[in-house]
Amino acid sequence: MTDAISLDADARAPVTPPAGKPVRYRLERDYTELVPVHVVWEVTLACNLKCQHCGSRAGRPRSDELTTVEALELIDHLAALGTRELTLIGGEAYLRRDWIELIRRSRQHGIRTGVQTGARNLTDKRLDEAVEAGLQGLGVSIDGLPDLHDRVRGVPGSYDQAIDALKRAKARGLAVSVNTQIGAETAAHLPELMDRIIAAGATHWQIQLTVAMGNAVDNPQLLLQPYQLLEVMPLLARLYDEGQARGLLMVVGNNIGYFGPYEHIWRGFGDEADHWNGCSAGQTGIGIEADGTIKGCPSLATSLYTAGNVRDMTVADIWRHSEKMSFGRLRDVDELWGYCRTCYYADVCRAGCTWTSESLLGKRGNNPYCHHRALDLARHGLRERVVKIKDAPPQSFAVGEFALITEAIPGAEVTPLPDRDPAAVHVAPRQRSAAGGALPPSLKPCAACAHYIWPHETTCPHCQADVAQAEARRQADTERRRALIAEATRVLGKLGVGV
Amino acid sequence: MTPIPLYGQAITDAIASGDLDQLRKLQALAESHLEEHGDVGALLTQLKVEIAKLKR
Repeated sequence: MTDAISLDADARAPVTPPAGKPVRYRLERDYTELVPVHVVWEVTLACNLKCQHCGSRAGRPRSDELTTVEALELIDHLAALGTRELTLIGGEAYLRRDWIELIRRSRQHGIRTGVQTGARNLTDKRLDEAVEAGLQGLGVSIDGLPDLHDRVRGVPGSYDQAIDALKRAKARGLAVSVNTQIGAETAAHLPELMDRIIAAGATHWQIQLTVAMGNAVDNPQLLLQPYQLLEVMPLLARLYDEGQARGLLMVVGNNIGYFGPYEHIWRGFGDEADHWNGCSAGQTGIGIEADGTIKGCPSLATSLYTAGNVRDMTVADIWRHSEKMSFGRLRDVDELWGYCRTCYYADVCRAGCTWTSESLLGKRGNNPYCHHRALDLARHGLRERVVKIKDAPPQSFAVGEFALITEAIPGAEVTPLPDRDPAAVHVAPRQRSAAGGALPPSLKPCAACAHYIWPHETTCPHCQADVAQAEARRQADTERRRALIAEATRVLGKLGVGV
Repeated sequence: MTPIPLYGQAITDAIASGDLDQLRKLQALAESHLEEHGDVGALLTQLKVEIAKLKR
């Protein structure tokens, strides 16, 4: 890193998302001008938990982690690139001696700043210092009720410490959230866990699937099987609804999806125009390892996706010019394979989360962790499961290899999947900007069945409804609803009830 | 366009929106009002019924 950037000399005009949208919300210009909106930074690999599913195999710090001067300079460069949100992770971020300085510098740039933590020994002193430096949010990782959480996290009592940290962070005015990884045993814990985190003050709950990387490859029994999505996804939809009514907003992570019957509720928090539109690695997001390694996403395999190191070149040059960073901007449906290659959603989905699919099968572009796919297979009496065939090496973010097995659902009648022509997959034209970015395609939900469809459809391929007629009925429903909202607002307002 | 949550902290500044959320909020307000002030509509119906009975 050589280019000095002053704190008040950011080249970009300030960007404000639309009212009601989070700062992490992607604007069109974020895609066309290549803005790394959200950066997730492993500031140290030191950790005081021993998680059985840890992808980065955290524990000891890396031998060559960035110095304070290098780290502060990196924050300045990210601000100049237009970054709006920074999440510090580890390892355990607060085991890095200068973590408070990093928070302070990020906040001086006006970047929304949060920390994701396991919360073991997150003392009042640490919390107070972070709040004083301007920390805005604290996310605590909780993977189930106490027995499961403590077992998976490898430290007895870690659940109690996590819940206690939530309460103390809430009392200090921080935005408090929980991350939960879903593995083979987690689903049964979710309803009660939701009650407990609401009681502890959480307002947002991010759900992710455990991914076959690092320690999780050593403990494959922790992984959810793809066919288990048939039970997990309806449960998540129910909890989303119940949580919303109780002040907890579920945020599904990038490896939950895709385009099944609940897609319209996952992404837009009530705005159905928002839907999954492909892995954002290297398009609007950056991941940083503690030694300055830059990737398009914090979770991608180091061996496959290292785009550069800020000790060798600026993060701006890595971001704009590295091939390992730009793969997501340039890829097309031809690199997809297996079921995903001929899927109806191939061109907008691009096989979901790159991290999940590539870590599992050794090659991106085919992702069995997909609700749409699991449902389609189930209609033909089929399901998929994964079996480990190769261990992962001992390094951070190392991947092994799993075999994907398609088998009959016990007791079900099997009918073969239809042959689908790869050439018949709909490909949306993309206009590339001078910077090299492009807007992802936009779909709309069918007004009759809520499944997303391409804009050119006249008959819904999922429910066979006449798209125009269904849309007209929906418009009428919407107008009636809006009229009721207006009338109820007027009446309650006259009664002096705050609306 | 939708934010894509990486494995990091949840989007803590996201808020629910849309008709369902608004209807729910209005329902909660209406229920709290009824709890505090009583249901004038139901009261009016009962008054009319009793008046009608007396006029028989």
